[in-house]
Amino acid sequence: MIGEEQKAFYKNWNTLAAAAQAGDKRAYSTLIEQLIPFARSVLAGKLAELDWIDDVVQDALISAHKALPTYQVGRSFKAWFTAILYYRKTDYLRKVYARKNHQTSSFDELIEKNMDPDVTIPTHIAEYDHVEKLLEQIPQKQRDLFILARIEGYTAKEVANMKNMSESAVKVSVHRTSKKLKELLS
Amino acid sequence: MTNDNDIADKENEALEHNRSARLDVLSKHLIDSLQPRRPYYAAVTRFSISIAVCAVYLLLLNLFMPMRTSMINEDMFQVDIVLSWGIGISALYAALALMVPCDTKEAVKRIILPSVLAVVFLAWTFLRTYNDLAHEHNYMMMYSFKHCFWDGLIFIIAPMVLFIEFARRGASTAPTLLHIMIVLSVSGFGWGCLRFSCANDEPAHVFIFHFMPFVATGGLSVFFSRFLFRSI
Repeated sequence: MIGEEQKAFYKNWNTLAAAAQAGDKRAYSTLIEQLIPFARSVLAGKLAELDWIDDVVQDALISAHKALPTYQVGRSFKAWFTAILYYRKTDYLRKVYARKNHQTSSFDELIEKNMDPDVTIPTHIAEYDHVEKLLEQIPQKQRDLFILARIEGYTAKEVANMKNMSESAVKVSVHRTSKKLKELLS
Repeated sequence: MTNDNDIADKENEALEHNRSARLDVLSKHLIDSLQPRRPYYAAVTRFSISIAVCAVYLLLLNLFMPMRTSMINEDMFQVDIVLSWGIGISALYAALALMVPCDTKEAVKRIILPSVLAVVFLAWTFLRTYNDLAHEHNYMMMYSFKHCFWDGLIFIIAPMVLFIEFARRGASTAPTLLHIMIVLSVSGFGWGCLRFSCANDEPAHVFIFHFMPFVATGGLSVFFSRFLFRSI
C-alpha cells in the first residue's frame, strides 16, 4: 500500500471512528481489525520483545476505547491513535524498567531468550540494509506479500483479503520468499 | 507443493495463534461493550466557554471587589495586563488542545506562544523588581497589602475549577505539559486581575506578593499532574 491508496486507507479510519462514536459496532470491529496490525508495525522497531508489543497494543486499544469520545470528527484518527500508542509505549517501558531495575541477566540468558530479530541494533544497520537490497531481487508480487505479512505485521488472512488471494496462497508465497531470502543470505 | 504448504501452515499458525489470541479476546470484549457516546466538546467550544466564564466571573467579582479600571490608561499597566492576560489566553488555548491525545509536534507548536510570553514576562518582572530594589525602594510599601495572595486565590478559583474539570473529562497524552499550561493560564489571569484590584504598584510587592505565591503553588502542583489529569 503506497501513496494515494494508503492515504485513502487511513482516511477511512476517520469515518469508521466517527461511526464507532455513534455506537456502530460493525464499523468499530473493522477499525480495531485494521488498528492491530498498524499498531504492531509502528511498535515493531521500537520494542525488544514481541510480548511487549502485544501488551502495548492491548493497553493502547483499551485507552483508545475509553478515550473514543475525545476524537474530534474530521481530524486525523491515525494521529490521534498514534499519540495514544506512543504514550502507552512510554508508560509500559517505564514500568518494565522500574521492575527490572534490580534484576540482572547474564549474556547466556539473553541468548536463551532469543532476542527479537526485528529490533534495529545500531551496529547491525548494515545487515538490515543488505536484507533490504536482497528483497529487491524477489519478484514484485511476492515481495509485496512478504512486506505486508512479515514487516508490516498483517496476518495471512488480512493480506489475502487485501490482495484478493486465498489465505493458503499467501502463506506459501511468504514461506517461499523467506526460504529464498535465507538462501541468498547464506 | 503439499509439503511446502504444510510447513508454511504450521509455521504461520503457531506464530499467529500465540500473538493474536489475547488480542482477539480483547477486541471482542471492546466491540461488545461499545455504547454510543457524546463526543467531547471541540477545542474552540471549550475555549469560548472558558473565556465567557472568566469574563462573567470577573464582572461578578467587580461588584464586591473594587477594580482600578482607570489604571488602564497607564503605559506600564497596559504592558502588565497585555502580557499577563496574553499568557493566560494563549496557555488556555494550548491546554485545551493538550486535553485530548495529540502528537508531540502539535503539542510543541501549541506551547511556543505561551512559553515565549512567559519568558518575556519573567524578564520584564525581574528587571522592574531589580531596579526597584536597587534604587528608591520603600520597604514599608512592599509589605503592605499582604492580603493579595488570598485575593488572588479568589480570582483564580472559578477558572481553575473549570479548566481542571475540562482536563479530567479529556484524555491527555501529555499530562505534565497540560498541567504547566493550566498553571500558566490560571496564574496569568489571576495576576492580571490582582493588578486591577491591588492599589500597591510597587514592583517588589507585585513580584513577591502577586507573583511568587502562584509560582510556588503551581510549581509544586506540577509534581502531581500525572495523578490529577491522567485519565487516559
